[in-house]
Amino acid sequence: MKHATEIAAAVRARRTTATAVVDRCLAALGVDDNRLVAVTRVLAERARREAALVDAAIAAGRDPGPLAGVPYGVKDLFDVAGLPTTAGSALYAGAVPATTDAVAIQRLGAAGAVLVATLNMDEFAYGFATINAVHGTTRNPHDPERIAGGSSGGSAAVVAAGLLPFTLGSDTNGSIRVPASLTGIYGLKPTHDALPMAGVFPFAKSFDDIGPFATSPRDLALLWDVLRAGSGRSGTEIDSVRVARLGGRFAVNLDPAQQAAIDAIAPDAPVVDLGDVARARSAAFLITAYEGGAVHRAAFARGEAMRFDPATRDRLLAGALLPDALYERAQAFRATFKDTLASVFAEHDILIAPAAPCVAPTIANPWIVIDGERTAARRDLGVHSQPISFAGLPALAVPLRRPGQLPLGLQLIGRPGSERMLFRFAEMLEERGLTGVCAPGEALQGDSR
Amino acid sequence: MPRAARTSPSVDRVLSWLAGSAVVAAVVLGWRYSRRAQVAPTAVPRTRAEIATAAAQRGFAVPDACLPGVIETLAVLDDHAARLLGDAPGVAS
Repeated sequence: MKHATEIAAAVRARRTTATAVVDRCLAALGVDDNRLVAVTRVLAERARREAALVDAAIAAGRDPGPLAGVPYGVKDLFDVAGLPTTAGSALYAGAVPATTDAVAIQRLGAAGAVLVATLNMDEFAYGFATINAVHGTTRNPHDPERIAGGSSGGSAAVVAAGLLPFTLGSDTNGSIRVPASLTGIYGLKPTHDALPMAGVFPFAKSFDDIGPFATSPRDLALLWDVLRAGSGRSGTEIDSVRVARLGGRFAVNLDPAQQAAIDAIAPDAPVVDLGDVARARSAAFLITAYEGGAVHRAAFARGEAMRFDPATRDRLLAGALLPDALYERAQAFRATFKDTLASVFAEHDILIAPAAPCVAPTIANPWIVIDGERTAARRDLGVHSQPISFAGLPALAVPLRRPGQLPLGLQLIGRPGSERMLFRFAEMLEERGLTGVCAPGEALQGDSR
Repeated sequence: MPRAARTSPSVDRVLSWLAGSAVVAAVVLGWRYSRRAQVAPTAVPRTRAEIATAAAQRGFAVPDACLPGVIETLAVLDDHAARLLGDAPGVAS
């Protein structure tokens, strides 16, 4: 699959049609998704209708938009008109269909993009593995015996497999950055509340954000413009960017290849220790559990707990039992931690850290090691992403360029509103050959660890 | 004229010391009680009884089948609470 910018350019220049692009895409999804378990609903009729509208606009001499004819999918928690919004749960399979699209889908549609599928996720976005009781476990395109990460695992897998040029996911504690890292693509967790959340099923409102997966920084920049509806801020020249590396816990739980890449990217950059990172993650964990549980308290009161996915049910029930005072203490610490980060960004523009602590674990043995202890991947793959969401900062997951090996990613973290700077820095890294997307076949030819 | 009751200087010192200790103990106990009263609202329910009470206060009941998983999750959350509140063993920052 080509980049989104290339597809749109071809459609706009009449070298192909939106209908032809979408037909090829639908055919590929039908063949390849059986092994990925990434797609929950193929929206063929809607996709062909939207593609026809793009082609009609071009035929009539109208501007079809910057994403003309570009097919994409959304995580299964976005409202899609005419369909129930399930958030990956059997509980909502029979819900009243959405009457309108989520605002993000509306903006993409207005730019000419064509929605073709909804995509697998951990139920209610609570997990880093995309192990779903209704739809199954999403497979990593680089090794089908491994997880794709989560909770936006379906959104990551189809892009990594080359089935779609971009998708939308959501990131509360790392649910875009973790699967992007494990599948070797780009994924943006924007500044908190920078992108429209209207029509998105909530998980934990303090941290919920939506964002795109893509295969190039340039595609992300275009998507950012469209999703921001023209309200983006100007960037900074990357020559003047002050880069720092995150130390402390970020420098302990990582793959040696990630450390080597950080050394190569910024050999002379100072190491910054954010201090209370473990405490920040704990506070984020508690806020997430509390708010996540609160969303479903009414369902629990109706006696519907046993209809939840067993993998998330007990976690949501436990979260619903947390005391208000503990939640308030966690929120109070959040304000302190944000102040700490603000002072760090007075001296630095971009912080570099691992996005996830390791390569994708296997589905048969979904465990990882954090702080020297074996722990569940589903719960703890967000060890490096969670403290960043806690502070509401934008973070771009970038894939290390390492053909022949399983994917690994880094996060480029900026101050609020600095997404454009992150895209430009990522583009520079790609030009230096340090980062970039590798096709799954390319990676499987060599040592797959 | 009745004789005023008198004690020896050493007994006076002991009584004085006991009185002082009692005041100190009262202050310490009072402080600990008030601190406990402050901390208690943040306590994570851990036992089956505490879980049942907390759930009832929120208008639902935890199904028996979910109790083992809920207890396990609350143990994890309690560790995070201890770290947040500064009562946990050190973890590298």
